Amino acid sequence: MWNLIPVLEQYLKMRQLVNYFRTSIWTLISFVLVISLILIPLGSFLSYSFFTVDGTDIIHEFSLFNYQEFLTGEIYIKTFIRTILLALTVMFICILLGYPVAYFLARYAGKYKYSILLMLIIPLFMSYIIKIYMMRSILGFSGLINKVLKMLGVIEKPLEFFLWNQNAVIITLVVILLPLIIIPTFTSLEKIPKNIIEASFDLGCKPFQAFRYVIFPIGLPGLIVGSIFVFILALGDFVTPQLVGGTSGFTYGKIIYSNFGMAFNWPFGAALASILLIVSVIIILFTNRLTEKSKT
Amino acid sequence: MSEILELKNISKSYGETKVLDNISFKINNNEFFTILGSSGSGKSTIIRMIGGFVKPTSGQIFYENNIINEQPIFKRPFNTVFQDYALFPNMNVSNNVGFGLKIKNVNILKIKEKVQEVLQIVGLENFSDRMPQELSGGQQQRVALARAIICEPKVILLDEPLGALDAELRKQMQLFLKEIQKKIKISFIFITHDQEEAIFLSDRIAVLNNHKFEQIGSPKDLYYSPKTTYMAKFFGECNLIACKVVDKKMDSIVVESEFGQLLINHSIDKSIGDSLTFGIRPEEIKILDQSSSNSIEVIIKDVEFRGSTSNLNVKSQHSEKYLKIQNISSNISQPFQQGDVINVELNTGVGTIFKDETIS
Repeated sequence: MWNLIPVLEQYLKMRQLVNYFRTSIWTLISFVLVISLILIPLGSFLSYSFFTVDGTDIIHEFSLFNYQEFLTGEIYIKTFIRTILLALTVMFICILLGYPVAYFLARYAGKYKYSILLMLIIPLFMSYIIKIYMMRSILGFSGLINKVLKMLGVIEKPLEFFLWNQNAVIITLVVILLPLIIIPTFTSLEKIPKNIIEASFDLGCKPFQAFRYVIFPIGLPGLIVGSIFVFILALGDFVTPQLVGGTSGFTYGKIIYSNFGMAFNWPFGAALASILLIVSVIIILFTNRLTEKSKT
Repeated sequence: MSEILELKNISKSYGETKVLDNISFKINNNEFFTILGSSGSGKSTIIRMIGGFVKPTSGQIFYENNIINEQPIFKRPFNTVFQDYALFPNMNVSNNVGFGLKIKNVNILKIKEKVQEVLQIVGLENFSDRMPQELSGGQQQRVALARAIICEPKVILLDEPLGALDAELRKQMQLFLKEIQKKIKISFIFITHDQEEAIFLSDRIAVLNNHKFEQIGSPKDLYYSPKTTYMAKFFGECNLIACKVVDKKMDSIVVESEFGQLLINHSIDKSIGDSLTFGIRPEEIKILDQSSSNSIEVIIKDVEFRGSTSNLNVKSQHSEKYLKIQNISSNISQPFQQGDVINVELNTGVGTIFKDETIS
């Protein structure tokens, strides 16, 4: 018996060591995954943006040429700003349309709320390209809207307002991205306990005041998450402008796409994409700060 | 004492399910009024009706003699302390507490002053910048209470506010609630399923059973003069004895029971041949050394030793009926053993005669 204690101690030490290795292996694996699947691609991407091209060859030498090109080429900055404004417009329209829907679903739809929500989610399973073509057939010259308006005698010539321009891009993006704002907003509104809303009435709130001081602020994080989704996706989108935007619906995403796809200027494309990434991250961090602040 | 709130013939059903059946009661000024009932008995529905969250199916709610059935929640001069506190998670403690005043457009400096004052009353003056999530259950409870009392309502409705707290904290909060109610002089309507809590806190208790009030009265009333056999068994223990009147005297009656003949010292409006139920508390039965004129003989079933005192279970000699005897000095009970026959005397003067003849 006398030598049992040191043996036990030894055993426990071993166990500790094994446990230590076990946890460190999992930590290692997660690090490797993050590094190999996210950081390395991002890094190579970023490093490409400092290269240049000569004809179709990529010259692997450090240069700020691409960034200079961006800052001096007026069209890039212009398109960039216009695309940001476009994404903001899409985002605000989505908020205006999506918030009331989410609010109604969360508060008044009762037992039907999940079936209605499911119907809103189903379009997300559909191919994005198909949805764009669908929008084309609705908005186009001989599309649903023009046909109906013509039949009713409201217009004589098909309206050009809906297709091959910025409006078409905005409408299409709103239709496609709307569920992405409804779902997180619904979730955060629905999570508000009923008695918290009752408490606000109990303390003297009229319905609008209860909304303003209690329901809206508590549900705000969901709205912000949804808005960021919509904004970022609208910002980087290049298929929609390609398919419904025509010539005036040129966006920043489309420029990036054409640099990779058509001009074979990968370094410049990478530089443009890096700028987009950095701006997106800044916007996310900024809104994050905003939500943190709104909590206190 | 003047009454401030009255519920008259209130009924409430959800579809086919009846929750409250024609209840009426009045609340006095500065009163601690408790509604006591098991879970699902409809007690929360009562204060939700007073608060305005639920409309009664029929009946009227009066506040200072005006019917307020249709008055919206935000106009009623009552505030609720919710079961799970319902603090606003997006506001810190002082904003939570000051919310009711902010809505009423009270001057900001005035609000600040009031919040400090109320937080002092509930003992949280150093927590004004904390978020509700950073507080313990008891502290959240205090914030919820502070948020209600700052509005200076005429009545505070407390919906099982201590239900979520552990036993130790619960005791503290009980003391605290009682003190605060005395200090701020606002009527409290308190909901609980805990009898001890109700007895400790309340000026008056209303016991809810089967969608109706079984009895309303002070804790002592309910204990010493229960109106029904349900009430007799609800608070503490009570021996219920089925009897038949065999003789009637000036201020007493003689009855025949399963335990033999008893003389009950009550003048009662019953005639010979009537049956009744006689209830007596286990501590009102005395053990005698030898038989007396009004003693009965019983057989000891078992002796529960509880330190300085003991409880006895005894059986009738004539039937399978049991009696409980409590708080016998252990010196007296020591020699007793199962099967012994002893003489006991019932202190019938403090017993209760129930009109309902079925023993529930």
